[in-house]
Amino acid sequence: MTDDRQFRDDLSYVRSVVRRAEGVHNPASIYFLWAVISFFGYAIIDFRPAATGFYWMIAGPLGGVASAVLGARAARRSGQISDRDGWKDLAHWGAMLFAALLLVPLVTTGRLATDDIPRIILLILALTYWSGGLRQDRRLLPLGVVMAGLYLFTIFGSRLPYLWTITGAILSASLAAAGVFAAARARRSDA
Amino acid sequence: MKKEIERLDRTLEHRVRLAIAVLLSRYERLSFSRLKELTDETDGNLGANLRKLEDEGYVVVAKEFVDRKPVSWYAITSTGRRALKAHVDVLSRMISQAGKPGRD
Repeated sequence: MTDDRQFRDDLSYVRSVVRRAEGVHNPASIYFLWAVISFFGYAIIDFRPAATGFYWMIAGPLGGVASAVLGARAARRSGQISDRDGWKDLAHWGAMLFAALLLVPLVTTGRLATDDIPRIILLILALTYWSGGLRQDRRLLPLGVVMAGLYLFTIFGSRLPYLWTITGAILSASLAAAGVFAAARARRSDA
Repeated sequence: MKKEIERLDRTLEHRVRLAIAVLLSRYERLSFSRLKELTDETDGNLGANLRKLEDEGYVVVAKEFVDRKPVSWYAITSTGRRALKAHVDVLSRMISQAGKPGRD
């Protein structure tokens, strides 16, 4: 084999190894966690609307911290630790939380109706999951599409009874489905 | 081209060792079993290549328990990072020269 051919083969081997390492996915537990948080977070709008803000002020950051812990634990278990990826994830999901917080001045100055906040949050979620799917884990892409669909559903179906409970249930079911796929994939790679 | 070949790092010339060094330059720490999974090498072969990198001072190993199982974590050293950069620079030059006509 010539040197040239040998180099080419070696580099293609290195490339394939690096590509394999990039195929790390979110652990199932994070999807299940957010399936639960999101269901109650949206259903509460129908049943205890006054408590919604308080719920998200507590559940949002707590869920974020729990996700970081679960993600770090999964990375240790998979045997692949990247601080750089961890910081990128923090910046990505932290930006979503920050964008949601930036809605507060819109509401306090009367430029956005309180009822529209959950809709706008769905739109922010859709964008964050979609960009997360492009950057980090492809499994987030269909979730981004579901969230964008739910955003439209809450506009055109605004007269439906229990609109937010239905929205929360669909959102929760799609997150749980992503979790089931993630768990199945993890089982396959463990086997 | 011959001059450039002589500049290549002998330790990193082996593709498995090169792949390990590239992976460790990208990720802070990788376990032995994860490296085995990624490189598709046998325990013995991977172990020998890692030992060679360790002997050259390119990687360090730390052992700890994860879920009550012993895990060997590998990380690249600054010497290893420098060696990898120099090796990749030579490779890049060789590749760019290979594309030019009439050069040896």
